Amino acid sequence: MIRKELVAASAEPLILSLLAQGESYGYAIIQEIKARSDGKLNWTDGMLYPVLHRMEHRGLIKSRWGESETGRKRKYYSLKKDGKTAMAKHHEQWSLVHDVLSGLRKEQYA
Amino acid sequence: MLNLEQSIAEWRRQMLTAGIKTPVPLDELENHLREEFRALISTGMSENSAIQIAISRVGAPECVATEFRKIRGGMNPTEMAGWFGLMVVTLPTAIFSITNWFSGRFSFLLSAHIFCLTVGYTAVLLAGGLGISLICRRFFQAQSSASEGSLNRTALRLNSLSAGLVFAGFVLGVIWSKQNRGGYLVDDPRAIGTFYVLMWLFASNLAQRYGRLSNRITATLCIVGNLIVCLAWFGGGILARGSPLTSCWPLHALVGGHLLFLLMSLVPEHKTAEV
Repeated sequence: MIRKELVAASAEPLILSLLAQGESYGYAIIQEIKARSDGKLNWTDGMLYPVLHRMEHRGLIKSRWGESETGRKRKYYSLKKDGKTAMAKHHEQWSLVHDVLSGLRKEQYA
Repeated sequence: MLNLEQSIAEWRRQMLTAGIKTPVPLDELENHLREEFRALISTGMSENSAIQIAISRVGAPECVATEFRKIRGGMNPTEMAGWFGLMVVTLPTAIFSITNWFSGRFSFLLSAHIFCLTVGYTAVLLAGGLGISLICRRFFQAQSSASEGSLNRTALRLNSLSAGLVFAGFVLGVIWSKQNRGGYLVDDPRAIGTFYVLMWLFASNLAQRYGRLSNRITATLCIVGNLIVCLAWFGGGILARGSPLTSCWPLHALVGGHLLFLLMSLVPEHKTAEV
């Protein structure tokens, strides 16, 4: 299981990257992340929504009410242009961390 | 046999007690709860277990409510400084305009014109001040996107407000001038300055709203706005008194200072990692 600090830090870039593929809603976002991480990235479901609302408040994403297959109202989120900029920045920074870590690892086993 | 609606109603009551607001985000959380419940049922789980697990996965009401409260935690220091600065100028200007109107020294049109322009120009200067603060801070240290985004939102709101106020002030001034001087202020450097400020505000507001502007460009636009208002407000006043612009050294200092900040805004971002 991944530590909660890393789960929290990775929430925004993961959500932005998922929404870059098209609009989605809270439950689907959680299921997608769970599936892509083989269940290792586990968010407390209710904690995703404050993150989504904070990102919306910051102008990174926008939302609209739509309808689910059962006819109930469902809130869909999509990326805004500031969100795309933030996502690019996240990718750049996480890649940097990844490169540094990979380099150090290679040196360790060289 | 589980009464699903009753269980959800009880869960909603606990969420409301914890401070989760309705309809948003409580309805959104309820939808999530129902989807999770259906997914668990489809795996063959009993209804009683499914609702308990779904509720526990949404999280404890107090914890979820605490996270939501953090979003509505109010304005950050940058926004507070901007709006406080505007209030500090608005109140005395309003008192000045109203007392002069009631005493008969100024007509209503002139009082409203002075109020709108003073507060509108001040809003531009405050947005410019925020732009200068961003350029100076990022000149020495990389800033978080949240902090820059907040500054930009405040600058955009101040610029939108100033566009409305300067437009109203300009129209009031034109009407007053037509009634009292028989002309449309074309020969008054302050009015010409107001016109240029207005054009700038409309253009920069459009660019900020619909353009793909980076935080640095937004801050630069705010500094240019500052420069235009300084020239229109203080420079216009000097010219209206019949003195040449070169006679006022504080104006030189203001223009020079702004040109320095504009040069600083051309320097690329101080690059450090921010995760």
